Amino acid sequence: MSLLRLLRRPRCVPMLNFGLGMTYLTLLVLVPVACLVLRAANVSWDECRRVLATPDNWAALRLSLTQALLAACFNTVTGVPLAWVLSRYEFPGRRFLDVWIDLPFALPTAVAGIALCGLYGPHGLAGSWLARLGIQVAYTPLGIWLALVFVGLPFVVRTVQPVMLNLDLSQEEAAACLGASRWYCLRRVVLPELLPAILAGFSMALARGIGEYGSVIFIAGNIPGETEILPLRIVHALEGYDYTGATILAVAMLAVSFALLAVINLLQRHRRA
Amino acid sequence: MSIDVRNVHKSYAGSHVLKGVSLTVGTGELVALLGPSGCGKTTLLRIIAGLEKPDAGDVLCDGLSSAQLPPGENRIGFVFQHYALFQHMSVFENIAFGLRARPRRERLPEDEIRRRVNGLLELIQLDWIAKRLPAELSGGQRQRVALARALAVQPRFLLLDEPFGALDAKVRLELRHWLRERHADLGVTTLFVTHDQEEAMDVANRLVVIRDGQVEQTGTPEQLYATPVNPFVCDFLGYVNILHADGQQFYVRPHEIALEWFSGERTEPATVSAIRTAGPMVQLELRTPDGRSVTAAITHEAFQQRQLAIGEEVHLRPLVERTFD
Repeated sequence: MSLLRLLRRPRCVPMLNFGLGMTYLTLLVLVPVACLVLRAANVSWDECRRVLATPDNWAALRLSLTQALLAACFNTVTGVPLAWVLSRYEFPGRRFLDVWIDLPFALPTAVAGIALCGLYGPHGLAGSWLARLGIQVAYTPLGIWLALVFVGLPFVVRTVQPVMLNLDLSQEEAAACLGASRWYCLRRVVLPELLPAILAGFSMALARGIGEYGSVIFIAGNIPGETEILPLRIVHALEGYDYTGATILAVAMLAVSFALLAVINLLQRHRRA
Repeated sequence: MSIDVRNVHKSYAGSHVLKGVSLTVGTGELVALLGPSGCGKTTLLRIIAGLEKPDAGDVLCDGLSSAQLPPGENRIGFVFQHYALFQHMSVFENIAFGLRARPRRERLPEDEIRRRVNGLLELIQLDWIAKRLPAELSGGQRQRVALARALAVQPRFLLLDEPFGALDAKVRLELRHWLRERHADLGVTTLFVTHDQEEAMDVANRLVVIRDGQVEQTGTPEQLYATPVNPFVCDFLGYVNILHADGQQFYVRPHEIALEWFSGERTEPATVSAIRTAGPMVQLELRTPDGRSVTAAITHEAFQQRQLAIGEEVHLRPLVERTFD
């Protein structure tokens, strides 16, 4: 039987699609992750506990998670209105702004890191000014947060914007005709339609924030136990030929990210049901 | 409860969509805005609803200018062409929306809202699917939910934009009659937009024919059908033939043509090119010597007596005096 005929047989197609998708994902994602997990499987529990309980590692895990969460929250709060402005209003410079949003996507993260460091460092343009107000950005968790806000913003905007553009305007008009205030309409009509996209954007910004390395390490200062992020701990472990430690940290990071994404996915499904 | 549209103008990006439209809809009337697509009828409806502002002119609802009020405060029920139901809300919540959206001090108590929504669900005969989402409904059901949602706030006027446009033929016919009956029960002043003359004549008490941003004629379906003021209205309200006889052009419907044996005063010769006997009338396709095609409809009895065959020559005589010179 030719492949073409096989494709035409309706019952075969879903399995074939599943097969193709699965093969691709396996090669691209599953195999590397499985290698990592397999490597970790050889490690004893005690070893695991020892590595994770190291104060510096534990602090780095906490720092990475908190700052990624804070940055994703901030990006959601600012990115959604930004997407709204870009998709709803016509103003001079709108296209320019629209292109600018993608800059953190396109910029090599190290370049972004160096730029941020230059700007917010103690002698930087913004940094010296903020220092006079008593706010130190570079080499503090605030600097890490700032870098994560920078890299995470386009994830929120670019996820939410197309959904906003596709919103059915007549639904909002219908709400207005029924006497709903603008605020009520946004809350009860627009926001529920956008919520899945907002959650998706939030989770992508979060996932990116947890794993972000290049843009953070320059501005973070990497003071052990204070401003050292988890990905950096992994790099340090590798540099010291501590493959076991690196593996354990990587698996821990993977588990946390996976758990977070699973929770967000569940929330989305719960909403739909 | 009357709508008074006075000399409304509207332009979009340089194109003049409405060119001084005036019309009135009296209390309890059921009026159709009829016109070909792109004639400005939907724009006019949106202006009346307060969703758009006129460039010039005014819309008075019960003597008050609607342009000054936000859409919600006019108490105008608007049913959108594609219904615009809230996708994430159940049928019940969609209908309750307008009641729940009021400021807290004006809002009805919850049990009163439930009572009213349940009443509307019964009215639209959909109380059994109150918990479903719009995506799970058929087109006709969605249309009825949209209507109930608009009625929930007890509007003074009901405006419907192509209410049957997106439905298939059979459902359309059912809903047409249903809407007319509901209008008879509720007596809400209603204005609806359509491009379908049959639908307009079937549902409305009064028609407003619009072409190219201007009102062509207003009147009852009977008036417009029998005495159109110009060829456009005549042609738009139903199939019309033009007969050339005695140097005049007669605009006649298929059933307003007599088939004579001999040429005489006010007749035009033609040959029979096709005969269709299926249906309540016998339809004859005829061709005049100058190549125009004419459709005539005669009763089955008349056809039996006449024994017409394809290729036969007859003489067409208009039965009505309808000329636009």
